[in-house]
Amino acid sequence: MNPRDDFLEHFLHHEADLKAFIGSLVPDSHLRADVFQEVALTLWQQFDHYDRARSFGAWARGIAANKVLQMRQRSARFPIAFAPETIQAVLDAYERTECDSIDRADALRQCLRLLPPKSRELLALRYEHNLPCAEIARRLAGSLEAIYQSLSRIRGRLEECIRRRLSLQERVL
Amino acid sequence: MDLLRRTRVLGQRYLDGLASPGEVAELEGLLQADPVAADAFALLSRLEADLSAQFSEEPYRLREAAVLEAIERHHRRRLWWGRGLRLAVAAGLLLLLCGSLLWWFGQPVFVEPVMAAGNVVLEGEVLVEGQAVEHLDDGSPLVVAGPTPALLRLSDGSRAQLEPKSEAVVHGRSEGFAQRFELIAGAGQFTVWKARDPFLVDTPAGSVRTEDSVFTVRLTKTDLRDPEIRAKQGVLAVFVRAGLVQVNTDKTYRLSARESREFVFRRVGDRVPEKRPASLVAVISEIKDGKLTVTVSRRSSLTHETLDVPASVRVFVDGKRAKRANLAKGMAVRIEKNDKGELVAIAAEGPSIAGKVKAITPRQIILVGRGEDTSYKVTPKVMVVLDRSKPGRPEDVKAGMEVVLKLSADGKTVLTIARREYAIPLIRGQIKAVDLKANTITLTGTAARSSLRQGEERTFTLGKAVPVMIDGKRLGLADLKPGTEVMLGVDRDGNTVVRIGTLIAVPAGRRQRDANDPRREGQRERDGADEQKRE
Repeated sequence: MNPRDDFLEHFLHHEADLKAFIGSLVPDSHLRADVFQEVALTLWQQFDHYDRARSFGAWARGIAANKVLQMRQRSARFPIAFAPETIQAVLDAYERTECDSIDRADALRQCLRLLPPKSRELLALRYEHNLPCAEIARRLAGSLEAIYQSLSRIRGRLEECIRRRLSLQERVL
Repeated sequence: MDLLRRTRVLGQRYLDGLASPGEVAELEGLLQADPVAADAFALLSRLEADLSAQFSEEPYRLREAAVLEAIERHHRRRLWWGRGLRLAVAAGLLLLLCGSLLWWFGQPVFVEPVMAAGNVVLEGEVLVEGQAVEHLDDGSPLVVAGPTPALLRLSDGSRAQLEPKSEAVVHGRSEGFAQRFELIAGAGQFTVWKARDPFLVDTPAGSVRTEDSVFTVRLTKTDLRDPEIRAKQGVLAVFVRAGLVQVNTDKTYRLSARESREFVFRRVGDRVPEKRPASLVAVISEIKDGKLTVTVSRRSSLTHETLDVPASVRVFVDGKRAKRANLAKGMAVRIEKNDKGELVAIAAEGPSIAGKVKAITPRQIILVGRGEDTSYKVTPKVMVVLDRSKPGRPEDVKAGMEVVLKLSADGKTVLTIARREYAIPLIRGQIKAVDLKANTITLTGTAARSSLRQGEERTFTLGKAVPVMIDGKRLGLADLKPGTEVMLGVDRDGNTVVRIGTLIAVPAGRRQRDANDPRREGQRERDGADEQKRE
């Protein structure tokens, strides 16, 4: 396999997880995209040095963490809330909880189908239309706290559902 | 509330952008102290990202599913007709002896409907030169009339839904694009299917290119009181529903699903042509019949370009003039083009490999590897740079040293062995004083976003044989004058100066704009750091 296809195969498989990791460190969505692009370029440039004995995801997240820290060092105004020690803790947690992002996405899709329509509508307002909770509350004529609690409950249900499906998959496999 | 539950509450508030500084600090404490809490946060952030991706892709998937369903219906209809026809033929043959074949040939045969070529108006009213049309020729300026949006199917198969009063020109296949759509005013939602060449939306404020996405482009004028200013200023807004787009304005931006960005442009009606880079870095993937195919990495995407390489193109290999025949597959090259986009030079250079020296002999150098060690060929002509102040010799390279090897373009021979330097922090400021006796230099900070804050003073120690480059000229420390704006490269201790240089000269107008834009200070420092690393 030529290096380009080799790289793409690894990268595309871990793209979603890498975005999630960067998203956990960089709250601003525009900056998050910039960081992701820089990380992707660095991964491509350093792909020759990737040790295939190691997980690509772990390697990529390590580079992403370094990139975030570098950006933080360059500019005190770069909006990273977490200290380097916290970033390391999150990095370690991602490694411990690593799982196939495609399986996870499939499990989420199936779990979403099980949600009642109103719950799906709430999630659509939050994630498709990208509305803040306050705006959702205004549109649905509810209180901010009630909306927030509802979203938290839905996310909790989804997490549990995904966990059950993934563990079921493991048993079957 | 138990710690895990508290982590989830705080983690979700953090991801939703609602956490206060105190809550963030509390969350950090939990993440650092308890791996179980950190795991819960990792799962939470993954779910957040998955939900965002899921909901942004869903409309795209639904559209794709609708298309597939339509294709399937059409296919089933054809199958039904086919079966019916065969039954009719069999019945005719059984029932009639003579003339049955003539009867069968005379039956109407199902004709597959032929899709109209070119650009077609599917819905709404579109005017060209004041006349309502159903088909659009490439190059015709159009206006969407009526109260409802117009839906166009373009010649490359993509779709454009334009809002009322939008103005545009459909150019068709153009300059390496499958479709070039010029949006002059208004807004449109574009659905682009995967094709060999990208799709381009050109606007007065910039261009949007993509290969496979659903996105919206909107041009609006800013709502300012002064009518003269209002006429000269507007906003280009791009929203991506699915896929990935590249927006070229004064910079290049990439937007992925659910992302949007607004770009202010100064003069309505001014065309901002698609920018072509003056030089590209690429890898040669094929050489055939006098043409070069290269793979170009542009941020997170890879594209291929095939170039004609005429005899007039200058070719360099490892910094020396060479011939086209010296280029080989796998070489990394820098491609230079002129303003017209014509190829003028190709320079092939080898990669740089960093590592720790395991051993070195007159013929080879071995770097320590994670699995296997790697050996590279060395010749007597190898350049050794361990100390910037004087050239080194191969004998000076010792086992255990961290080095960077510059390889030849074919990747086989080491051209240079340099001591590995980590990124040198750069500090920008104005020289207040240089004390050669005390061996110090004092700077006053001038940049809003810099490690030396504006107005802050700091004294640095000068290292040994500090090179000084001011406005492109090599100078001595004694030539440094107070008031000169400089960049200091400092060692890892943050205090010892290892090099002194000046900023790249910029035009006065841009300098004024830069002075007012705090974001550019940080970018210039980053550019300076990259330059230092390259050197």
